[in-house]
Amino acid sequence: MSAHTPYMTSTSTAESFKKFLHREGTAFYGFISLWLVGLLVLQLFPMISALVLSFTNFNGLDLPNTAFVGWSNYLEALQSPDAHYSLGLTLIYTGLSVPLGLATALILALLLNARRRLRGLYRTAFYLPTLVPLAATALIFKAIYEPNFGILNLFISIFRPGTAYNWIGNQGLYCLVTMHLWTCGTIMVIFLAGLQGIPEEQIEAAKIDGANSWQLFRRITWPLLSPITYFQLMLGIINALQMWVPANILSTTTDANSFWNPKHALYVYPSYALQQMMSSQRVGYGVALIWILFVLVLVLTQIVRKTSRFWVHYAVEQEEGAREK
Amino acid sequence: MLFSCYDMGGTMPAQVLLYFKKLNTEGEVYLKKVLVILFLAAMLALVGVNLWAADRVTVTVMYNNNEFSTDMAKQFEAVNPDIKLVMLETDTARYMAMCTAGSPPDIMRCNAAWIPYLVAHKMVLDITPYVRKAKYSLKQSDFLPIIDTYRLKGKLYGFVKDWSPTLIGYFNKDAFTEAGIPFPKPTEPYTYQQMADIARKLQKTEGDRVIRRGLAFWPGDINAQLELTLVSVGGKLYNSDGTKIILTSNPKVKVISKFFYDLAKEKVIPSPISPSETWEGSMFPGGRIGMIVYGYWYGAMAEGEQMKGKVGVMAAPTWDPKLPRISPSHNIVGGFISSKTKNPNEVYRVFDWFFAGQPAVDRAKSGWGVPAQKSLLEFMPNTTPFDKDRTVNLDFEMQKVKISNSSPYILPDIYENSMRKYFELALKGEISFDQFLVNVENEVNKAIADSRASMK
Repeated sequence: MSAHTPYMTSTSTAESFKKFLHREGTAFYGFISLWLVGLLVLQLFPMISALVLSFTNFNGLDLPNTAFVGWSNYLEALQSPDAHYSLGLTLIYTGLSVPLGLATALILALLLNARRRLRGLYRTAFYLPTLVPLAATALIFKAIYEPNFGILNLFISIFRPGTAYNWIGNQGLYCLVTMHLWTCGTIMVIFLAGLQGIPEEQIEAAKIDGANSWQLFRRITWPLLSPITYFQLMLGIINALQMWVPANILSTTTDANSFWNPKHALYVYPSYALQQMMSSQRVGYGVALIWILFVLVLVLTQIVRKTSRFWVHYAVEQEEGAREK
Repeated sequence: MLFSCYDMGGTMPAQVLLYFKKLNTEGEVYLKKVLVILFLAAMLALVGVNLWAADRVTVTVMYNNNEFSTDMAKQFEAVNPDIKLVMLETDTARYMAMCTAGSPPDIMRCNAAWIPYLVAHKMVLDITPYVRKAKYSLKQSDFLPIIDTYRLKGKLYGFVKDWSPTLIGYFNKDAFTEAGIPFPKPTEPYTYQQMADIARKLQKTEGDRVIRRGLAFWPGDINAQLELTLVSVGGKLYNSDGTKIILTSNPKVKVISKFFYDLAKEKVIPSPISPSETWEGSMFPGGRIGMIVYGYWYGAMAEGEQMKGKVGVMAAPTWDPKLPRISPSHNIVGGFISSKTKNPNEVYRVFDWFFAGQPAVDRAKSGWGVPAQKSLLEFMPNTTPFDKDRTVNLDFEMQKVKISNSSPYILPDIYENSMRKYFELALKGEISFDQFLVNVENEVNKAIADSRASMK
């Protein structure tokens, strides 16, 4: 009779299984399994599908008759005047809205950090616009910039009667930038939290040494806020490059189909990609445009990350490896 | 949520089991029994519902909720307990996703202009055999000629919910009186040039601000304005097999587009350089537009609360009175059955009921559109003086209805997008007027060529 009877084998298997169940790693993977399944099914799988579709002529309706077209969608995107124009608008919007948004939020945070009466009320007032849904914000600004009865033109008509300048049609991009500035309350709050984390002793010591406000800001406040600024800059760039909903809402006219066909002054890159997918039935081409945007976002954020070593100062020294990454 | 449960000292199921282990008094044992019975009852109910549902055929309908409401769906289910309706609001993105997943809605809302494209891509069921066995519909002799917009090569691929001669217009009587212009009769059409001259007189401005617009055409964009007017002079956008759009070599296209271009430049009609602050359909009942050419259907709301008795009906304009009269139609809304439907007989029962049963009678009575069956014409509103004018005008227009041709290779959206994009650039002076037509023609023909290549 073998020393290893089946009874003894099943016991050791059961014990091994029990040990496996009680390991920390098992519990961890068990708990995140739901999230992991969501990641695979709802994010990775669609991304891979989208990548495959970008090499096809899929029209959104007729999958069985879809054919591979190789790199032609990407080549067309790189050569298309519409793609160039829309990408230019998106980059201009990013170049304006992100720095202006950060500067506005920082200035407001600095002002609201000082001790003054009704500070809480002002903080609430500046934060409230961020609670308005984006679509509603776009409609509010549409009412402001409308040519015949918009609030802005009615105000200007006090000085120049009969003004009916088409702000959205002619300066749509700048309308979007002002809309973005109106909703910088979230960034302001984060800067405010950062300002309140600056040690008072350092400020006091600098004042004793004769530092003026500008020197305090330049030498103490700004460096200590730089990690927050870096984070907001990255987020701002990512969001600005993907912005399309307000542009499309501002463009919507009387025809529902006009939602997918923004005005020329608001023809940002994601709107162009979505128009190709939703209105022109060129889903493969539209997805290729989105992948190009993805690469652009990756490149720009990596540039910001690499340059951060020169201007981002951490209170705790970073490990060499972490900095390199 | 999972981590918070873990933080509480154990998984949720473990805590529930612990709780049950603690229940050992008499009352608590009774509670345990009640909970177990409730749980078993819930399981049985769930199984029962699934078994019952398994006997019912599910029909998915993608339609506007204000046209095919959930209440209407319940009415149908009450009389047809073997069918369950799943109602979805019309959504292009969702429709595309469902098609890609291989499970498109059984019944889908569409415009007649879509049918050639959908048939070419084999997405539509031929309902001709089902019509012959239909309960409500569909005697062939009862069809109005408009049903042919859903027919290709003798086969019927859908049905009309309602339709509208699109160039029927309405005018603001107060604005006409103010300008000293006599009211037009419902059967005496203006020419386009007369209409433009009257619109200039009706227009009210304050500096650059437009206080009252002289004229608005459906739906506010050049694409439909050109297409409809072209049809009214006997022209077509596409060649006979839909393989090319013809703009630059068609002199009628140039003349008609230039007409609307000039009106847009003067801001007499809304355009990208002088947009309306909201939908013109809601501006006209507020007295903000002098004349609105929106089609028969719009008459159901043209008066609104403020303009009762102050709105008149205008016949569709004519380009040249010497030409044979044609009254174009762009709004031929209906639906089709997906070629991938698994239960065509049950789906057709829903289709038949909605397009030709009681809902069709209700639609005819509402005055929101013209029915597709002759027998339903008598139900259309004809009580108020305004309704009587609409009826007289409609009888005049219906004799000469025609629609534009479309291409089986692209949906109309591609032409519309291209027109909007380049027309704005032309109005702003960034490209010339001639270049606008060239660009649209090139872009649309490229899209047709790409689509033909992919269908080979």
